[in-house]
Amino acid sequence: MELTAEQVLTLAPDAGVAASGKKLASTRGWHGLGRDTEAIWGEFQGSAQYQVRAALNDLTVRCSCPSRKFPCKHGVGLLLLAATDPAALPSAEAPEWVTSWLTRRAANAEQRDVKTAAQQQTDSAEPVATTQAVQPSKSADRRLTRVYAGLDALDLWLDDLIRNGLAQVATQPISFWEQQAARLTDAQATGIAGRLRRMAALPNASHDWPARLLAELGRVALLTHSFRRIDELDPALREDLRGAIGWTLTQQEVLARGEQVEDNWQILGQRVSSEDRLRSQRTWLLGSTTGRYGLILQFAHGTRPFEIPLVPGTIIHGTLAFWPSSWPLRAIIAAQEGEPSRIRTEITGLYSIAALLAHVADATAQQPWLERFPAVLKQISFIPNTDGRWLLRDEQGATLPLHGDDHWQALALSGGAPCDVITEWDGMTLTPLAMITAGNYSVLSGGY
Amino acid sequence: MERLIDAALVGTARTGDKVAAAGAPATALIAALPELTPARKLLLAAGAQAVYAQAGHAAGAVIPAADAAPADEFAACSTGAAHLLDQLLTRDETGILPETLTRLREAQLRLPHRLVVAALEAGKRQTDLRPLLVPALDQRGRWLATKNPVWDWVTTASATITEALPDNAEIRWQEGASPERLAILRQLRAHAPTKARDWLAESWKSEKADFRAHALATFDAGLSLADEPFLEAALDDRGQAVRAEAAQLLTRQQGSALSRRMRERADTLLAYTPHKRGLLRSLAQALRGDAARGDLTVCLPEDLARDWQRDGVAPKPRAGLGERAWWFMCVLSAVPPAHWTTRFTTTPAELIGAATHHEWGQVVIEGWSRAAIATRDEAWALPLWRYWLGGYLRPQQERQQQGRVSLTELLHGLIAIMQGETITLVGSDLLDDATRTEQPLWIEIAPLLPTPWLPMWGQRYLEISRARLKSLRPHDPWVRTFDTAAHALPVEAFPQALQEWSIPEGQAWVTMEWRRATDTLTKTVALRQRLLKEIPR
Repeated sequence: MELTAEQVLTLAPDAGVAASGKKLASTRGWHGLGRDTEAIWGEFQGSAQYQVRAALNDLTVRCSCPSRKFPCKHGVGLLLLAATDPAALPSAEAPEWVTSWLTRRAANAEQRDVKTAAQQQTDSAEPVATTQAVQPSKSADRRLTRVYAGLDALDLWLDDLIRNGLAQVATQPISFWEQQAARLTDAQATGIAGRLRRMAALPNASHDWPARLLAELGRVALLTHSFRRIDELDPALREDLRGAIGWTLTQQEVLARGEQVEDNWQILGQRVSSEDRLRSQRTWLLGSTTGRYGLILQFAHGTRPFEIPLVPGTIIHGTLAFWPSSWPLRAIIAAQEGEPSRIRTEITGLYSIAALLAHVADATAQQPWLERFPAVLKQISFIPNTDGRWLLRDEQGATLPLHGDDHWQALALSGGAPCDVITEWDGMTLTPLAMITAGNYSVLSGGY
Repeated sequence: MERLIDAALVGTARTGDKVAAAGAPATALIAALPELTPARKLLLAAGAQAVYAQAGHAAGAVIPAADAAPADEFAACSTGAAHLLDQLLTRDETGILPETLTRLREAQLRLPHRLVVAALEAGKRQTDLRPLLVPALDQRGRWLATKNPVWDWVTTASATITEALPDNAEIRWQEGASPERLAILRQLRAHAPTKARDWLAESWKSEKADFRAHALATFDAGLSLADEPFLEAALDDRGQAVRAEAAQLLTRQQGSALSRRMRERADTLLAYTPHKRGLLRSLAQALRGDAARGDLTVCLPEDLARDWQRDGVAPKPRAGLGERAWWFMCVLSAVPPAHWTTRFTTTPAELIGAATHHEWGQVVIEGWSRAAIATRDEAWALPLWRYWLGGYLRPQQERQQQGRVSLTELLHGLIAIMQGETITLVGSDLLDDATRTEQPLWIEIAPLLPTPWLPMWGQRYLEISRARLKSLRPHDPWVRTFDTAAHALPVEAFPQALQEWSIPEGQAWVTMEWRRATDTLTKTVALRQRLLKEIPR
C-alpha cells in the first residue's frame, strides 16, 4: 500500500476519529504488527486488547473494538502507521484471526458475484421494461400516473407563484417549500423535490436572489414541460430527463444497459455532504487512457461507512458502468482489480478557464440539466481578495470565483505560484477538491 | 433578463405577458406553443435563459498575476517529524511543542507547507509559541501571514527575533503601534545603538511615560558609556518607572558616574576588619573547621538623601523590611560584589561567613546576591547559593528572615549565572539531600535547573524515583517532580526512564497517583525520543 497520511484520513468517518487515529499512529501500544501481500494487522492495547486488520485491495478495516464508528480510530491508526512508518510493519505470516477474516471476506464477495450474475441472467432472460414508454409494466404505469399528477399540481403552484409575484416569497417560511417538496416526494418525483428544497435557501440569501430563484424555477418549468413531450426526445436525453425527475436505476439495470469502460481510473476528488444523518459522497474519477470523467455517488446513514472505500489521489484499475445519458458522468464500479496505487503521473487537464467554459457549454448543449462539472485546471493560481472572496486565475489572466472563503491551505501549498487544481464547477463558482504541487497530491477542504 | 425578473417579482397578474417585450431567449419558440398563461411563458423563458447563461458563462475580468512567495531558506523536516508536528500543533497534551520547535530551529529545518496554516493558527492562540514558530514558518509562512490580517502577529514576532532591520523601519518607527515600534527599536539597538538613541531622543518628549520606560529597557542591548548623558537626564524624568529603568542601566555601567556615586555611598555603610592572623589562632580555627573570619561593621543610613533617591533608591521599603535597612540594601545591590573582595582583600566565602553572624547579615547578603546576579559574578554564586540553601533547609519556624526575602527568586537568579563545575556541584548537593530527606529541596529547585539535566543528574534522579516508588508512601511530594523530569531528563537517561515502572500493591488512590505520574513521564519521554530521532541535529 502506498498512501499518504492525508489520504488515509479521508477514510475516517469524522474529524474525531481522524484526530484519535492520528494519536495511535506510532508504534506505542501496538503489538504483533505485520503485513503480507493481502493485508496489514496489529494488536492494540486500549482499554482491552483489540485485533485490528485491514485488507490492502480495498482498504476495508476490521477491528474487534466495540466502537460503532467505521473505520474506528484503531483502524485509522493502523493505516496511518502503515502510511507514515512502513518499517513498523514487517513482512510476516498472517495470524489466524487475519487469514480467517480474509477467507470470510472472499467467500462473501463470491456469493455477491453469484447473486449479481444470477440477477443479470434473469434480467436478460426476461427484459424488465426499462423504457416505460415502450412497454409499461403495471407498477411502472402506476408510478407514471402518480408523477403526472404530482407535476400537474406543481405546475399550478408554479404559475400561481409567478402570477402573484416572487416578492411575496421573500417572507415565506421554509415550510412553504418543504410542503411542496414533500408532495413531490409522495408523487415519486424526488429529483424535483430536491430542487425545491434547495430553493428554500435562496430568498434573501444574496443581493441577486430574485434572479437566482427565477432561474431555478425556470429550470423546473422546463423539466415539467419537457416531460410531457418526452417521446419527442432522443433516447439518451429521455434517460437524463427521467433521472432529473426522480427515476433511478438499480445496479443491475446500469450494468445491463450502461456503457462499460475499462481504464486506470484516477480518483480525482471527493465531497461528502450530510442532510438529516444521511451522508452523501460524490467522487470524481478520470480515466488515464480514455480521458473520460466519471462520478460515483454513495450514500450512508449516520457514521456507517460508504460501501466502497474510494481514496482521493489513488488509481484503481477496473471497469465503470455509466448510467445511460446524453453526457454520461454518473457511473458505478462494475469490476475492480488489484490494490489502489498512488497517482504518480501528471493528470491531464485544461490550461485555460476559456477551455473549461467551452467544455461546460458543450456539455450543457447535450444535457441541459447537468448541475456540476469536474475539471482539472492546469497552471492555475489562487488569488485572495481583500474582501474575503477568492479567485482562480489562469496563465492568461482570466478568472473565476471560488466557492467558500477559506482557501488558505491551498495558498500555503502553492505559495501563490500556478499549480494543478482539481475543481468542481457548479455554474457560478469553482470548488477546489484537491491540488497537485511539486508532484504531490493534496486533498483540499473546498473552502469551508 | 432584468425585465423578466421585474415581471416575476411583481407578478404577471399585474404586468401581463412581458416575455416578448423582454426580448427573452427562445421567445419565438415559446410564442409558438399554444395556450400558455403569461406566468408559464415567463417561467419557460427564464428556464431557457438559465440554460443559456450556464452555457455562455463568461470568465471574470483579466487581472494581473499576484506575487508569489520567496524561496524558503531551510529544507522541510522529515515526513515523520511533520507527522509529529501535525499532532502537536492540533493538540499538545504533553507540552513538548516548544522543545520540538527549538530542535527544528537548531537543525535549520522548517515546517512542511501543509502545516503552515496550522502553525499560524497556533501562534494566534498562544503568544508564548510565537518566537519559536517564526523560524519554522520560514519564507512561505511569513509570506502567507502578510495575506491575512488575523495572522499579523507574525510581523511583530519576526521583528523581535530577526536580525535584519526591515527596509521601512523608520516609517514603522514613526507610525507603527507601540509593540511594533519597540520591536524596531530593540533591533536597531543591537546594531546601531547610537542611531536608536537618536531616534528615541527625537520623539522622547511626546512619548507616554509607559512607553518611555519600555523604550529605555531596549538600551539593555549595546549599552555603553555613550548612553550615559541620555540616561543621566532620564534620572530626572517624571515617570517613576523611567527613573528606575535609567538608574538600573547606569548601575550596570561600571564606569558611570552613578555607579561611582553608589560605590562611594556603600563604602560609608560597610566596613570589614579581618582578624589578626596569629599562628595559634589560625591553627585553632583550622582545627575547629572554621574559616578565618573578621568583623563586619554595618552602618545604616539615617535618612534618604535627595541624590540617593535620584539614583534609584526607592523611598518605600518592601513589606517586612524597615526603611533604613531597605535603603542600605538598595545601595549595596548597586555595587558589584567584586568591589568588596578587592577593597577588603578577602574571599566571597569569608565575607559571607562574617555576615552570617551579623545582626543585619541577611540584608547585607541579599544586597550582595542581587548585585552578583546583576553583574553575573560567578565567583560569588556558589557561596551565596550555599548560604541561601542553608536558610531554605532550616525548618519553617526557625527561619529568621529579614524582610520576607524571596528565596526561590534569589536561588533562581543565582543558578542562572552559574556554569560548568558550579552547576554540577549544585545539582549533586540537591540530589544528596534528596536521598536523605522526606521533603527534599529538589522538589522546589528542580524546575529552576537548566535543561536538559546533566546525564549524571538524570541517572540519579531516576534511581531515587524508583526507590521512592517502592516505598509507596501516601502524599509523597516526590510525585510532583515527574512533570518537570519528563521535560528535563537528558537523552542519556531515556532508556532508564522508559523501563517499566512496576507499582507495588497499595491503597488504590496512592497507586493511582503514582500511575498518573509515571504514565506522564513515559509518554512524554517516548515522544521526546521520537522527536530527537525524527529531527537529527
